[in-house]
Amino acid sequence: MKHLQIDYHFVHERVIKGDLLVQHVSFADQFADILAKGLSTPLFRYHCSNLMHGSSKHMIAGECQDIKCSASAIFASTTC
Amino acid sequence: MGFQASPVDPSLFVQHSSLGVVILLLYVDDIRLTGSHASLLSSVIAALTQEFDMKDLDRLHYFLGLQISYLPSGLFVSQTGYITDLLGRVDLQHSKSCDTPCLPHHHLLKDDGQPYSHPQQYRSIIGALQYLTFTRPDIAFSVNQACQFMHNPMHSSVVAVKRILRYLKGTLDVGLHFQVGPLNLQAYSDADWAGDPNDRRSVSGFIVFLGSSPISWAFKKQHTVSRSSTEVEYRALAIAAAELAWIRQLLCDIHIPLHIPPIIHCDNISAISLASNPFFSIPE
Repeated sequence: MKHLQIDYHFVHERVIKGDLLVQHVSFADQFADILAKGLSTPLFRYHCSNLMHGSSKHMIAGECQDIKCSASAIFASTTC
Repeated sequence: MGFQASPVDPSLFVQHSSLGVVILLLYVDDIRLTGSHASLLSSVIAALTQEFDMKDLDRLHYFLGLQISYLPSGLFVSQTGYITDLLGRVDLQHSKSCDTPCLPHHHLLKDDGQPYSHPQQYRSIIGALQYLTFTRPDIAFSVNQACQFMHNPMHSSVVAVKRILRYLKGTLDVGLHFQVGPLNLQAYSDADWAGDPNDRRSVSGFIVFLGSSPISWAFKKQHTVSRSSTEVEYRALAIAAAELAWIRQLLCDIHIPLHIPPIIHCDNISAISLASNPFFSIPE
């Protein structure tokens, strides 16, 4: 467990000193999910939009909003 | 000229005076320069031009395959040209695009079917895809999966790489959008316990946001096999904490001190308790 002791103290010391805050995040808002596993299309699109992945052809108006709407609709259905 | 090398990044030089800050980034024979005032920049450029034979290319629009455009809301960085070249190289420019770079919860196996007959081509495409992850964190996971079969690519790995390329075909114009916003650091760390079916090692990843813009991300297979999901998540937390410490020091070096401590978001309650509860400890 030696390797864990080092990691343990590294984070713990920073948290105790107030240099770092560790907070809980629900699965739905875990942006790093996109880096850790293969996701289904709706969840993947939702996380992509969170990463500010706009299109250079001026995203904003139509396209991104559609993604956001569909993502929120999906979350509504998963939380129900 | 009063520039000081940053201890955390040897190619970054900072000049700090009562007039403002000038930041100089050196890449081989290219220099990127930014600062708080245009007059400061022009004096640095004038001083450098006297000493060296160099050309001022004005605003940065293209750098090592990255295209940079200036929008009213901030900067937009993409690698559209690079993706188009890559698709042309593998003759997939007319392929049908797909929605995601990999199938959900799909893992590649090391002895799955026949070995691929052109491993060199596979390696070269993977190298190009790795370079693409600079502006495309969305493909980071899929590329990392495919990277693990560089030594002996199977047909199944080639199919996976084709899927990444087809996904890129459909998302050519996507890139990173850096917006002006509050200067606070937030990281999200996540892990997939025993996620690799070949050796049961776990994978962990983190992504760091400055304000609302993602500035750093990484995804890595852990070196040791973990026996609990808490252990994996805690290790992911430590990796993210190390990155945050580095970014914080970098911001300090360019004279942007952070007043709010960075926040790491983690979805594992046991790992959070282990980090913040002074009475918890792990066995020797």
